[in-house]
Amino acid sequence: MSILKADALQGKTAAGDIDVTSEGGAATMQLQQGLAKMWCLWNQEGSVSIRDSFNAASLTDNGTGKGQVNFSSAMGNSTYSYAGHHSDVGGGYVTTVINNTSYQAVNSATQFRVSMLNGDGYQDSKYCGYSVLGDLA
Amino acid sequence: MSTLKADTLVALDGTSPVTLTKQSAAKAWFRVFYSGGVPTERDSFNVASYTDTATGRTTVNYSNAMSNANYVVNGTNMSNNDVNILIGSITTTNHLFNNYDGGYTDTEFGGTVHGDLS
Repeated sequence: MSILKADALQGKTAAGDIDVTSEGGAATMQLQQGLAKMWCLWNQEGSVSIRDSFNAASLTDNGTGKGQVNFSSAMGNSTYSYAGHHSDVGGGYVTTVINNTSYQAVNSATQFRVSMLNGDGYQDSKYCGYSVLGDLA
Repeated sequence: MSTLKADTLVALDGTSPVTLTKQSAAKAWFRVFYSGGVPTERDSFNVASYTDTATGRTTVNYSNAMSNANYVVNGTNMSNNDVNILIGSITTTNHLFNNYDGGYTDTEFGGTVHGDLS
């Protein structure tokens, strides 16, 4: 087995473009596109706080059941993809559902928003976990 | 175009991950269906086994453990019904993936894990 040692990887032709060969060998893919650009597990209840994260600078509490994560390094646009879950207790079960188009419509390159609904009302969740895939600036 | 060929990339100290991948790469992913009530893998990365905890409730056991329990699990149910994904009992070595539709139900699901490996 060969081991390449380096502190950073950079494309030669374009710094932000490194291709890798697929597991099956039939295709190549841009390495950067397959990496999560942010992940964050936070507590939305009470004083909002990040439990652990990557590329998440801070949280903004926009009211009960309305979370906002602010990125450390901005995305290249606001059309990125994100997915996650909410849970009321660690090791417990989700009682909240993600959905509020008008609130999340203000997502931007520097932040994204999630709403936490329980039935017809907003509810803070203790465990909110999300990851973001897309283009960094 | 230059092509660099290697089997493994590590940092200069010989053990740490390189800057690009150490935080942002998925640490596990999986897709599972039920065969005769038993969770059965279609494909995965860094998953060693599945424990059939109960109907609609599957524990996903990692090959390589996470460093703490503060990681992110995202999941999707792949049935035609309105099945909720309930993720819980998160530890460094596994998590419980539940498919809930008014009651726990055996339906196909998939998910990803982001966080820190041990």
